[in-house]
Amino acid sequence: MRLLSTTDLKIEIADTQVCESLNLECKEGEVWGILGRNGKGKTTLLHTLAGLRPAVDGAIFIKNKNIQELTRKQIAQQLGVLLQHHEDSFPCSVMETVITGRHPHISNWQWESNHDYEIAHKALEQVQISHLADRPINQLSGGERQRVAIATLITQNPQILLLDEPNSHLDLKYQIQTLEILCRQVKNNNQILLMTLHDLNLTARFCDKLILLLGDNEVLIGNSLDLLNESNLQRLYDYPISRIETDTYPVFSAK
Amino acid sequence: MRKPLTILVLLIILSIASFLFALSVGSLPLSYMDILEALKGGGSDITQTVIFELRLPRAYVAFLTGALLSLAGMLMQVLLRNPLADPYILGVSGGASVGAMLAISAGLVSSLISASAFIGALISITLVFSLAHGRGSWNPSRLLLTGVVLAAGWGAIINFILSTSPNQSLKEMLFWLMGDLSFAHSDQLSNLTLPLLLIIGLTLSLLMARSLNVLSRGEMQASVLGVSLKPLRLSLFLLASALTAIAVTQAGSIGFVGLIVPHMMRLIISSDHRWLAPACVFAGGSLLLLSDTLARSIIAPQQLPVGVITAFIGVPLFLFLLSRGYKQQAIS
Repeated sequence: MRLLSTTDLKIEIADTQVCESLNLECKEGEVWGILGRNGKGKTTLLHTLAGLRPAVDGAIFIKNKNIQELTRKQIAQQLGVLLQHHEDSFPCSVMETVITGRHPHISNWQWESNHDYEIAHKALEQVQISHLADRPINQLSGGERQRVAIATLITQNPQILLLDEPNSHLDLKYQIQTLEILCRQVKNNNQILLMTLHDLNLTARFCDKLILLLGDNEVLIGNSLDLLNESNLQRLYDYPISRIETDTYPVFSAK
Repeated sequence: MRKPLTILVLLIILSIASFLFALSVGSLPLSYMDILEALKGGGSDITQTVIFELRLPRAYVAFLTGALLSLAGMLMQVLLRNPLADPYILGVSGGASVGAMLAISAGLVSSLISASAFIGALISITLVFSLAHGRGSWNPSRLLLTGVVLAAGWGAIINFILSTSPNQSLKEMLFWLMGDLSFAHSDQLSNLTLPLLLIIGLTLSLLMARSLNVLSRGEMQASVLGVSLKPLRLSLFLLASALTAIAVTQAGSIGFVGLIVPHMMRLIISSDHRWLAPACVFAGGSLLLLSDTLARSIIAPQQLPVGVITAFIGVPLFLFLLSRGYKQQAIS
């Protein structure tokens, strides 16, 4: 089934034309990468797909339902976003933050049940920060804060996961571990994952499909290993990049 | 779960103790036995009069005003996601003050001063709402700037009225500005509206509480987690403004309670709004009731404006909690 699709999606932000007529079809179990230079609209595309900002034209569908006909709560039950910036205006603990992931799944008067806390604890375990559960959020390092945000998303447990630079602030080990956990989960549970990335090597390793935002409404969509050729990359990053084949995944390096 | 509940029970006990203290202190000191006797309907006539016609009505208004202000402050802080926000930050009290000041200079009686203050508050709320709403988006910084600038405008009008008023009304005006419960009259109307509004405010806050928890992680994140921002922002704004307007109308602009009680409660009980909201009600009520009791008794028969006392009690208490809170965090 098409979990997430768009028809003739037109997006602009300020003077930047991101895409003019984007037709996406994301199927269950697929991992998508969104690549592009700074300011070409990666985050804008992600936010538009999440319904957080309006598209200029076209439509977005979650399970064949137009996103405009869904309430925020209905969207949140099926679609989760890892945002690039985290706002912590008031002190609260890691657990208090992670448990907010259950918000769309329980009614207004209800308290979180033990089951909800189990889900949250498991998510903390998955990103290896169980020991931080009671720690105030404003005392975490950038990487720990990022893992709290990922744990919140896992706790929300949506079918569609949109990640804006999931690797920011993370050490190499956690970059790979986090993506492994998320991608394995996506395959096992028939979810969909779309993420903006900067690292070509991780892209080749984890993404099945790619959206390349070249700018000025030019968009390439396709299988990731097909799209990641030297001429596309030259156009994408405006810089020569060589692709070196290995036994596993190709390796990319700036010339 | 157990710890916040214990603290909430302690706060309720504190509230009852504050009432007993307020009833016992004054030019006619009463023992707790006298008070209990009088509450049961016994005791001398004079005790009955002192308690039921003087001290209890004033204590009642003080407690409810403090509770309203703290709750309004808590809501305003989440709405603007700014720890410096207090109930007056968007100019509600400025509008009310101008209304009250005009009524005082016209020599009106106290119930009309309150009415005039309430109208001023409503005008101010409407102005902020329509100006900040205007065209385009309604973001917290635009709302904050609109409110702060409007408050500054009211401030200028207040200064103008103060500097052109005759001496005899100046003291009354200044007391009103500093916040003073000696105006607080308890008529049938305020006897009912105050608790009713507080109950409505607390119920709505509890209904919104989990959404408020999410909103305090930022508007975008709240949206991602299924909160419809527009209706939530609107109800927060209207509710906080209404609570503030009623409180200011009763007792002038009593500073500090609405700013500091929500922060104190975040440090003591939890940042979960389901605990925070009721905690603010009882702690804010107790703080204002204790302050008012001191304000009317420290240098009796002269009365101090209660706003002075709330700051005298609140500032050191808050600074102590703040430093202790940070130490605890550092250890953990």
